[in-house]
Amino acid sequence: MKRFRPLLWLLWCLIIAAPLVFVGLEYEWGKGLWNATLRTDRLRFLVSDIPAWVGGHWLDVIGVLVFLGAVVGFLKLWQLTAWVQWRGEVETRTRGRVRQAGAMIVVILILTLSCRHLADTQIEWGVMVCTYILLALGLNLIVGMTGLLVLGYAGFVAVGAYTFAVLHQQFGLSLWLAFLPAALVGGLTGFLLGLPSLRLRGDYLAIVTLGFGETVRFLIKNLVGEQSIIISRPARVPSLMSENAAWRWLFPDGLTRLKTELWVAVALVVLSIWLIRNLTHSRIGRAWIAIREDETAAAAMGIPTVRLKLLAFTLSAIWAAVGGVFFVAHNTSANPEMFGFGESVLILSMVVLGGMGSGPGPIVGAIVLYLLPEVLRERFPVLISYRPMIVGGLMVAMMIFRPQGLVGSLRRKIELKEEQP
Amino acid sequence: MTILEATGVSKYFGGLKAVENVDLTARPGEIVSIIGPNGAGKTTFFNCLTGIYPLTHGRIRFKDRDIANHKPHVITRHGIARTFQNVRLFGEMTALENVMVGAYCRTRAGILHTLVRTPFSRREDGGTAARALELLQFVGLAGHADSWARNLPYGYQRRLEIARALATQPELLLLDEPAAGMNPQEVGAVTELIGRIRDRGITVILIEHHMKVVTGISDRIAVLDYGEKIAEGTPKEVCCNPKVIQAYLGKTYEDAPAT
Repeated sequence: MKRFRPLLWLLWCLIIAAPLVFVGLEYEWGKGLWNATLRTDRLRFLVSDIPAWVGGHWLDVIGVLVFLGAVVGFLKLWQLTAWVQWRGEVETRTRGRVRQAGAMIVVILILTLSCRHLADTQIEWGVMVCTYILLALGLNLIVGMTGLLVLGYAGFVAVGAYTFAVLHQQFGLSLWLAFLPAALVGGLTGFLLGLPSLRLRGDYLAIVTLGFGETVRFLIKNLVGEQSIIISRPARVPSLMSENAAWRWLFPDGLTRLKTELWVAVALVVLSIWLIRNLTHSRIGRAWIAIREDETAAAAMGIPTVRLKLLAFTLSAIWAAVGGVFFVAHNTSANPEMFGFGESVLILSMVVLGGMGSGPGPIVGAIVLYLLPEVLRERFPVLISYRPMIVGGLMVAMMIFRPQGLVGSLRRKIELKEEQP
Repeated sequence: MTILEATGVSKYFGGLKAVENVDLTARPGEIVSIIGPNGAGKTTFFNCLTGIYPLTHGRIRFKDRDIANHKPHVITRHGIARTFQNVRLFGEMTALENVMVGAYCRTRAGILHTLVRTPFSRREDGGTAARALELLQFVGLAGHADSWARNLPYGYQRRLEIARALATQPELLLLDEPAAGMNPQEVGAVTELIGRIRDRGITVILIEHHMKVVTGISDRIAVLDYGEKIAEGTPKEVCCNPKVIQAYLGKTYEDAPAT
């Protein structure tokens, strides 16, 4: 029986999905009838689209696979050092730290050297990937480490984004000065929302945050308006180093807006990784994990649970706000519809796909879930209409084969597998 | 001279009187046992002492300070630590990390210190790790510091819970059935461990069903039945108390009311 289980699933898919895909229902107003037709033409994606794409772009396919493999392999190696697991011995810890620093330097070197040759689209991808990494790292603090499900993270992102957008519109505040006020307002929002709602546990908290995300969006629509706020920024940044030969080699056409953004984004990501790593291995990080594992026992061990959850909430909101500032600055416009429920789900998917609670997990998740659709759009425009199907299928496959996430720890896998009888 | 003085502690769940008017005192350095049939309210009494349940009424004084209805983490900081009847470790952490969590209320590095990992927080963390290793050694788990808590055998998990409680630097330790489900050898080891904890100057209150443990090390025994204290005294006194025998074994045929 067990051997035929895949076949049974296939059968299930046929029964459930086939009518949805291959039966076309149309209401004919003239006759007042439902008209059902067999839409065999929808088989096209199997018989012509995908084969044509693979046939025409097999080098690209291999390229994407190699890229994904390289990303996962690189972070796997990194994780093996000392990110997730904190070993008691000082020796392994220092060695891990050296290796991680080495990995960082390699990434930055590759970026520096390739910066010269990167096309604008690729730099754009880099900036967006870094933004999503920031957001995913912030969300992981609360969902992965403290174990509180937050479904309205885009609300916090919107708070930061609109703090910047409004200040920019009113006072012409530049991006560089906006981080501080946005972080303050974001953190305050997180704190104030957390005060009443963190007394709730589990599903109830998830629903409160879901409501919060939507509330923020409508609040902005009412307060600021539905139109986009345009953020104007200079296309080129003057630099003191422009006469330097090495500088001129690195940036042949000067320091463009996109290139500065990429560098700031990378710096923010590196800074975040460092800060979050420090937190993870501190008394506060341990207390967060303890709350995730068993809240009552944590309280009995002297951990002020509400205060620590509030701290996680606030910090996570600060990360969201900083990410939000960057998001709209790069986009050069802010619109309430950019921060809908879909955005919250996207960021949460990044955390889950990469591995909840693991250090590099959200990074991998953000890279894969942002770059995959973008690469599809750029290289295989035929496939872009199948994007939801691909992402959905990827998530389902993940939940079956690697419920702990791409780089999630083995222990979580054991835990998740145990729950299935 | 008492370290803990609970008077008239009551906890009702709706109409159910889980704990009714229980008095208990403990002197420093003493081992007090609480025994009683299943459902007698022993664990509920512990939950009242540690602030997990609010009291219906009653007073609890610890080191001449009123701690009734304080939050659990505040009570732990005052110096009362506990273990749980069903082991409640933090499964996805190593044994060492579990013990280090216990040190939270005795360390001070705040969020800014930990975010940038200042020398202060680094030094404090090092001290915490060293003390935690020492405690693991004390309970006999020195070789298992890096094992995941959930992977440890059951007997070790119980010891780890004790180490974690000790890391909060308590003056009073509440042990909820530390020898439950253990074989005679392990029971002996736990008894010896409790003795060593007392020798550190920590007062111990113990819930236990193993009479060998209870009579072996207790200075005093209190007996609960249906939420009320029915007897208290030295092990010898309690064992001969007819009320206690009745609670455990029931009335003799002759004593039973005629039906």
